[in-house]
Amino acid sequence: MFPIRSATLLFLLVLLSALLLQFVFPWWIVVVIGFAAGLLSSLPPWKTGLVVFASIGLLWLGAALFITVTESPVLLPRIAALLQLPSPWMVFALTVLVGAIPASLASLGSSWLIIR
Amino acid sequence: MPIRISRGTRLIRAVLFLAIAILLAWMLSTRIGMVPPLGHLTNPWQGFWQNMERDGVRDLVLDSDQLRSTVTVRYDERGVPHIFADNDYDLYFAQGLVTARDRLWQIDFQTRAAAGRLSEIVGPDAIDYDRAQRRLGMMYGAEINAASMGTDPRTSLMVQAYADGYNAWLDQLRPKDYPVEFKIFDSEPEPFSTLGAALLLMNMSQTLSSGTRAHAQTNARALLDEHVYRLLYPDELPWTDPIIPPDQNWDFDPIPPETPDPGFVPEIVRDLPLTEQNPGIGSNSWAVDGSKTAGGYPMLASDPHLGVNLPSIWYEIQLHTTGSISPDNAVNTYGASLPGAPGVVIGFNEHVAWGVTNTGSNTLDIFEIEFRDDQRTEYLHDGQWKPVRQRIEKIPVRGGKTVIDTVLYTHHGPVTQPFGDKIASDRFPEGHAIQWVAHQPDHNPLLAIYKFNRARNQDEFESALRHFTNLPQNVTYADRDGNISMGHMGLFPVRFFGQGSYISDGRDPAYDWNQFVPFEHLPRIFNPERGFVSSANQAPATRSYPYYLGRSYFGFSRGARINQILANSEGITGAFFEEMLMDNHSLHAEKILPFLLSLLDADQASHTAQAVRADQAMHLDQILHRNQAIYTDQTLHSDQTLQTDLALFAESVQPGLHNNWSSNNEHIVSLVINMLDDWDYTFDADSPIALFYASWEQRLIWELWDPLMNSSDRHFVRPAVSTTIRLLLEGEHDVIPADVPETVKNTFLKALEQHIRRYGSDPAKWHYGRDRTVRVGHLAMLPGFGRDDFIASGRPEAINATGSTHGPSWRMIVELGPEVRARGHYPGGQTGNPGHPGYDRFIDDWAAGNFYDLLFWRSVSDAPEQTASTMILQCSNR
Repeated sequence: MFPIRSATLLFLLVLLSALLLQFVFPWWIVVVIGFAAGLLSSLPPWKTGLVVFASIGLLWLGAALFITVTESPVLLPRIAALLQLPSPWMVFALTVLVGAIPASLASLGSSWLIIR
Repeated sequence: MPIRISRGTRLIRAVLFLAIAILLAWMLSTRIGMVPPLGHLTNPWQGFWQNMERDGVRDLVLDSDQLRSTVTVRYDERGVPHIFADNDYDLYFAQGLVTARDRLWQIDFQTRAAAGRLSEIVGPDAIDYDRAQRRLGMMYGAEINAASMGTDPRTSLMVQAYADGYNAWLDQLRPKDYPVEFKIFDSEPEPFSTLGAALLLMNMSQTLSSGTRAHAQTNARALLDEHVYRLLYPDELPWTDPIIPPDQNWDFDPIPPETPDPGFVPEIVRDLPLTEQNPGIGSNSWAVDGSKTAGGYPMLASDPHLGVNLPSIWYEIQLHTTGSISPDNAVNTYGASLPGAPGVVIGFNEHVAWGVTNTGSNTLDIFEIEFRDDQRTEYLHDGQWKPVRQRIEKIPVRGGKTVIDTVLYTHHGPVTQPFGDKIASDRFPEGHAIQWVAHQPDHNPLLAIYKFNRARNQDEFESALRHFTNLPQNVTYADRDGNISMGHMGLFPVRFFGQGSYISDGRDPAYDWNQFVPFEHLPRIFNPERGFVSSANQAPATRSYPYYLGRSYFGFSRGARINQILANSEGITGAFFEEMLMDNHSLHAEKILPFLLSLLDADQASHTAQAVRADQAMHLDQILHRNQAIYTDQTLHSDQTLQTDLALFAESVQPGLHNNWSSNNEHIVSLVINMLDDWDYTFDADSPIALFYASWEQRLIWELWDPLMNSSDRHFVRPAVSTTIRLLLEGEHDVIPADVPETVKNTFLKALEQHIRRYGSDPAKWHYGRDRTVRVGHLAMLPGFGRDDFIASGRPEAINATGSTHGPSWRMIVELGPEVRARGHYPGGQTGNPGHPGYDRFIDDWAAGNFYDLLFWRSVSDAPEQTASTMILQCSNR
């Protein structure tokens, strides 16, 4: 199984581990997961970075959308105003970026570290 | 063809990306300035997403080994908890728990703000605020009051149970469940202590009883000619219809006050900015007896005006015990509670209803202190050097060093300003001590609340009122036996005339608070023939009342309007009280506007700028007092600034310029004058002319007094609006330092010009409610967490005293009878969670004047169909 050659497999592994570990650990666990993904991936670094970005980004987006649909969205415009974002939708974009960027940067770093 | 990358380059890239990733992760986990830690805040597992809640209150079952029996909490459709417990401990435990469930962050924040501990959360920016709180003796006072609460078994149990319930809720929360504000500030809730209730009581005292104008009044008295001073600052404000009707007889022997040394002349206070009284902090409350109501039973209204914020200062609740342990303690009460304090503060039970308004009497005195030397270890009092006590205040600061402040205490109280340092607060002069009713030991207003909640008749309510001391209020009362009453209740020192309204002599024991007006001598009225009692922060009684209480009361407007309406009404219903509470009529405008319009006749006001200047200089010369014994260089200085100000003022008036403008806009000018002529002095939301009138009046009042306000660098206070109106109406224009007809005309034109710039040149499209700003802001001023997008009528001097940030904070109407009925609302929502649709739910109905029926259940099984959800607190001890 390792090193991981399939982008799909990497995507799913990152998604699943982040989904579960975040119930226990603070948000920065996604950075650790990104780092681990880079170590385990044999894909080119840029591709690993992209997969991790997409995986964490979609996971956070999905979770945010799920909560928005099942609960009430009244907090979104308030957070948007607090963070001086022009629209409540930007709160989703911000959420995606806050999770995905550090995780994918960490995976890029570790990919370069152990590039095969 | 892949390009081969050297090992060194790869390593550099690896280190670079990892370093950026780690740095970014650290930055997103850290609050930088006031930017929240975005990683913690935005992640869907722990961040703000977890605070998003669907509508309604979730059913819940909790266990606690502290409870003595099972407690049932039934939430109604509006999220109001109705607590049914077996005994007092369980009742207040449940109150602490349900309040924490809805208002955890608010209580945590308000408690810290009261204590002067905001720097722990905010950082160095809050040090000045905290220092001012400490120097006002907020912690000192909380310790005194907590000790008083601890001496009575009932209140001691109340605060302990409330804190236990609060902490039981807190203990079962995980960080992801913390209210969103904690995540934004990157802080954590702390357990509630038994000091908490006392701190929130101090918070209320700070709002209601810490006001003083003694130094400003002292300066005005010293600076002005005596005759002028009396006209500008009369002992009694004009047209006041006092709380106790003027025909009241005072059949008791008053305690005579001490006689002070007449030679005392307070020093002049300089270098303090002018703080105007906030007209939004006041209140209305009234009651009518059965002769005036449709139902034949008394009715009561209470309408406290405070800063309106989210989460709201009030939390609606019903408290019920069966009293199985002691039937005398059984309670069933409903009303507004203060988050953080047990009991119902303003409300009703099956037998009685009560309401409050602020007294405005002197409750905080400022004392001039003579220290022995620069060491300031001793001060002079009664001919002796007495030791100064020191209290060390430690202010922990987020991201900074703990600030240590040594506060000096005399027997009067704390010295609120540091010496030779940046001032701690702009409210009190340097080197002076304060004495504050909230600091008085051995008083326990919480016991009054406990007994109000349980009172079954007038005698029991009277016995409760005896404890309502160091948070003075006018208390309105009505019961189903048909009684109504009103009293100016609290701890008021026996004062000689004027004492406390000016700076007091800290050396002279005649100024000490040795004796207080006995309970039996307080201004009271029971079941008056006129069939109603009312208060609106006006003077409690005429000068015939044998004790001196103060002079800083509100003007006549709200009080006179309430009395006018009540005197002329019969067959009163709840709907009638609703209408009254939403009444937007201004007696100020009614009195002064016809006069102002008569002056707008252009022929009457044809002064040149030159004439205005000469005229004013002459007036001020006469107004200003030239007592060389008191002032030497100051007078000279003030004369110089005076001349400059006058020149600037005269230039700013420029009548010629405005005449040009008005001739170009003649049709609008005459249209607006006609609209004012036809106006009914009512600040309804849809009035096109009310906002223009308001801006004109404000500009006029300011410009009439500006030359006087600017004539000195001393702390000064503007004459009351009602005084100004009287001076204008009665032709006492000599004491006004501006040319009256000219100023009326110029301010009209300037206000109109500005109004057109802002709201367009078609007066038919002006709209008071839409154009003016009314805001229910967030308690910690977080952008986006308040509301300002609603339309509200009202005006601070109208019964519906909705100002821009202050206003009616809890409107309550109670109809007593065999089955008590009540209605009410407040600008907020039961839940303090900004992620819940109920957070601001009541605001639109509050603004529009739609009242809710307050559901008052007789027992846990009463009206089961009205239960929206339930929380069961199980005793896990057996």
